[in-house]
Amino acid sequence: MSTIADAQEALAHIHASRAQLARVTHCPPARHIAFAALMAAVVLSPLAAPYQLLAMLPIFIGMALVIRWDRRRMGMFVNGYRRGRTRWVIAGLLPAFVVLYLASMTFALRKEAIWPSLLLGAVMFGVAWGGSILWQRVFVRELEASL
Amino acid sequence: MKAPEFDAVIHPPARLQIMAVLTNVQEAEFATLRDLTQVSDSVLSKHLSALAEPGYVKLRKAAANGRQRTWASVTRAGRTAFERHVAALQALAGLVPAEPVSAPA
Repeated sequence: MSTIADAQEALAHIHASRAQLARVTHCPPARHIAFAALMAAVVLSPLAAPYQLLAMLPIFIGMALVIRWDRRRMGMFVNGYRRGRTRWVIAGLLPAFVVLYLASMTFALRKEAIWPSLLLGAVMFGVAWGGSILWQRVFVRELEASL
Repeated sequence: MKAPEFDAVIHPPARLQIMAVLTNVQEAEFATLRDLTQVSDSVLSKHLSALAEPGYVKLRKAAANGRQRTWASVTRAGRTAFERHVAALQALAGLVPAEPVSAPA
């Protein structure tokens, strides 16, 4: 490594790889829906009381299946909590998830009301769906951006 | 921003490409890396071994559909080395304010 041209060429190689990675990590609508459904299922899980922990089992199985689907579809797995700008999306999603889950638990366990949890689950579905699409866009833009 | 430092192990183009991919995914399968870097199986295998030797990349084998597949992931040391190398390239290319750059031994 000795010249500016060498350095620029090396950076171009890195940029090209990142851009190519952005192209192959296509996320189909079903993948966004699967993520949203799993998040909504967690918010709905207090409705299964007193078996709410048992109700988490199919959700964990679902998560494992989604990860396996990603690995088979793309030959790689991208962790949602990866470093980079996508963490801002997660930082927005997590508080919403915690608030909705705690609210659902409160309504289901203390007030024994079903409808609020169903409504909260639907809200979680929408938030997670939008969040998943946003995450993917941020991921692609980050990879396509210059170093 | 990591301190700029050239890394001779990472610098060959194919290894830069491999590291650029692996630092953005949790794990990638051998065939996917081969397609992304557009090198042959044997060349990719050599580059992955070279990156695994100093502990920059971790390789594991897993059976899928009755076949053994190799999965690669970047280690913390590999990520740090790559970030330092990119910082050194950027400093040399004049993309960021110049900082002292450590040359390879």
